[in-house]
Amino acid sequence: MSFDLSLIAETFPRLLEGLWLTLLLLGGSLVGGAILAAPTTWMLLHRHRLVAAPARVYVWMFRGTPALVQLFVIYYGLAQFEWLRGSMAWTLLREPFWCCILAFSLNSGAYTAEILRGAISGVPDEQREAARALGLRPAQIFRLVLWPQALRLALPPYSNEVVGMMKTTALASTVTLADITGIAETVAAETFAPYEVYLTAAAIYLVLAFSLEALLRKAEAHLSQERI
Amino acid sequence: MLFFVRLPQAWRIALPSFGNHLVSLMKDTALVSVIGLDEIMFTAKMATSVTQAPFTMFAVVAVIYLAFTSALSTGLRLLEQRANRHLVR
Repeated sequence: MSFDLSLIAETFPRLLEGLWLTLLLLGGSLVGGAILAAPTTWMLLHRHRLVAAPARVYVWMFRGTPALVQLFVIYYGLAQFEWLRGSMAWTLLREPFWCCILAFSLNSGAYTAEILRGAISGVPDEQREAARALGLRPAQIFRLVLWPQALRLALPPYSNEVVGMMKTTALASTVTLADITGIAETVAAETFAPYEVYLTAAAIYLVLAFSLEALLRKAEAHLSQERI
Repeated sequence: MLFFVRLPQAWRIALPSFGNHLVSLMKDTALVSVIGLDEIMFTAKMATSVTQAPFTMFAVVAVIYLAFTSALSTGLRLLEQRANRHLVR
């Protein structure tokens, strides 16, 4: 077997066409995940068990099953329901793109909520007590005291989540989307050179992961400065 | 020295991250279906074409995975407790 360098040069621009879809899926899922994570975290930290329980079940379900299974339940599974196929939501849910966004958002939401829960409960209790002694209202305690410190604690595990989600978007290729992996599959089938094509795809993912990590490390450094 | 002094201490520190890794590896096994191996995910896909009930099939797969990962995390928690048993009194 020979290693064809000119083929890589030919494949590279085609794979880059898939980059924007990968980034779009990543961005969409992270935004969706953040929107879901906010109320979930609030519920997880709630005193009453009845409020916390549904959030715990949600987190347990989505952290305990593979993202591929979640995606297939949504993409292939939802078609089983007649009433859903007749509804307005079907115009979105029959599109593989929106199925991916929904599945990955639900997945990311569970992980992000767990990260935030850990970070907020990681802030020492004395901080809350001191804030209360100063006469701050609960909302102020959260906004001025707990949140800034929790954010600092949450960012390192959150950057793992971002990079993990970036790799999860490769699953979109299993539901016919032409992201980096999807295009790599097509090109590999055309050229009979899976080795070159998938290695090029892997290199793109590697650069992407490295850039995301660098970006988030910058954010971490920015937050760790005491600027009060 | 390695077996009686260093390993028991290293084990205690390594166990939580090792456990996380084990659980995520467990979930990655679902990816095998993409290259056409005959595991649960692949079987569910086949079953779907017969039963015409994809949601039920994949939900069952999800439940199976949930059972496995939950059992795994419980086992790991017990191991962690055992590794830390000198700390609780």
